[in-house]
Amino acid sequence: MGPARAAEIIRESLFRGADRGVVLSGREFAGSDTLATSYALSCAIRKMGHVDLIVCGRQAIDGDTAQVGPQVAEKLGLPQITYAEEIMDVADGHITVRRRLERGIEVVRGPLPMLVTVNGSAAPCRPRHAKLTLKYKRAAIPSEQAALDEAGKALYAERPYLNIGEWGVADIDHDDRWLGLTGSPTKVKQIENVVFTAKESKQLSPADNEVEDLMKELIANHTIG
Amino acid sequence: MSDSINNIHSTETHPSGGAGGAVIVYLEMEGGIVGDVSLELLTKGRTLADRLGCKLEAVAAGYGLDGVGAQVFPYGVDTLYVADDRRMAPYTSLPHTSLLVNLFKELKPQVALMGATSVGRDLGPRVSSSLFSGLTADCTSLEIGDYEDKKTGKVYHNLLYQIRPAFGGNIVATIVNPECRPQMATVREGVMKKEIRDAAYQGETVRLDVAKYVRDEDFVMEVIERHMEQSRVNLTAASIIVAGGYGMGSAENFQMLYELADVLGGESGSFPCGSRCGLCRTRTADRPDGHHRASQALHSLRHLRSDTAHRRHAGKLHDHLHQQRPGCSHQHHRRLRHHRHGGRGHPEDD
Repeated sequence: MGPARAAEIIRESLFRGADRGVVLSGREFAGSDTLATSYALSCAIRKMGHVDLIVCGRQAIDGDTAQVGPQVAEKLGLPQITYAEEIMDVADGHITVRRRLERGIEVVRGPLPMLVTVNGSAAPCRPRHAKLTLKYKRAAIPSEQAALDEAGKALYAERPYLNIGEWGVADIDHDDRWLGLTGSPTKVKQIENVVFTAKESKQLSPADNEVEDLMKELIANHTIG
Repeated sequence: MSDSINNIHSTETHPSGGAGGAVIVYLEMEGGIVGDVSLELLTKGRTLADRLGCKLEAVAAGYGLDGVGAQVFPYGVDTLYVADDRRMAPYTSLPHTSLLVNLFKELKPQVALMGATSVGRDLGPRVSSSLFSGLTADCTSLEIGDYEDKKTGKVYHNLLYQIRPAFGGNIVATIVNPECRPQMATVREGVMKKEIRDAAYQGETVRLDVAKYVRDEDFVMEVIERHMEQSRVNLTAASIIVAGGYGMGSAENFQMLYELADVLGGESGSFPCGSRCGLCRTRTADRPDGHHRASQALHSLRHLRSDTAHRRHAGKLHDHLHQQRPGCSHQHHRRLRHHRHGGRGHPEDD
């Protein structure tokens, strides 16, 4: 879900082995907080049909809230495994995952369909597949294709696999009340820039006498000792 | 902001709390012990409840929870809800979500707080999603104040200001949930200060019938293995923190920091918890949090890279401490000697 340039991340997924991707895009989604985002995503996932496993990152790099994954799971009525580090086994309709928690690890097993959010401590992602990169490098959503000339457009009719789905608000079964700004219960009251100012700072060189002075000072003011 | 806060004092509050509902805190349980983060939230929750003129409530879910009341009542809890069931421990997402969702529907609290821990961050979003209620993660400050919707001109009184850093800590945003209840927020451990309200404070305990709130189908997750370590570091209680960054070069070099932390902390005995800080493992919205950590001093050891320098400094530190404190223990001498000779032992050692 995002503006048209979000197609880039779908292309990236195709390069790494995804079979299909959809971009959820539209003005109506603008101003969404985590709850409205999760509502829109859950509507889109419902439309995609039956899913066994939904994989999310733990958190986005801007908001750092780590909320969207679990909120989607709740809206779809699915169980969830957060902070996943490794999928250890998938068998008999169950998935076994090792989770990395603040103070330890946990191995849990639960039934599919399931939503999993991946922790940063998981193995790094595999590099792009060269063949797939060549195959999908011109994959595009309709609004990107619109900017091309006739010859360029012909390519997409000829090779349908290059079409990345682009869904707007009309394509998903939804209730307007829960989308975008109106669907976002949290409102930003104000935003302040953070300016850190050091009240007092000292720079020391690693020379013996400087360290000695520092020690004396710290002991004198009872910071240590 | 300060204006609106001042207004609160003149605003009439309802001592019964009936108008707006209570402030409720989800207690994080580990082996029958209430987590520090929850006690910190109770302290903050008590302040907020006093401001709002409502009750402070707490909910604990797990197994073997008989001792919870004694742990939380001194923090000023008016009502403690206990969901004691073998199946509620260890924590899994669905049963705890169902419990809170159904309990919140019944109690209609105006504010719900939980720790921004691996449990709170798993549970909070689900509860908020189910109740269509706004949740702000990782708040660094919580206040009560008014909010005016600029578009509609509607003024809301006594809302929870959820203040948190965003975009890597470069901005601080104040977030409000004008329409939905409860107003939910998570707070990291160590951000708020825990403080006993009154050791003799008496609250009421309400035991919940778990089967009434949680469906059998919620128990789908099976915890196969669980390794939890006791908190190795407790920065929140430390008054000296020795920290290092990327400049330390390697994990081995960090050993020097641990040793120095031992020397600084071990000497006086007034720093009960080892004051250590490892290499930051994850990039988080941590920076403004750091300022909240109660620390008297932050020793940045960027220049202290070489092993020789380290030994020299550790020795020097010892000389100073020894001058000041002749009663330094024998064991301590040995430890320092160990430092000075890079762990190889002193030739005079037997």
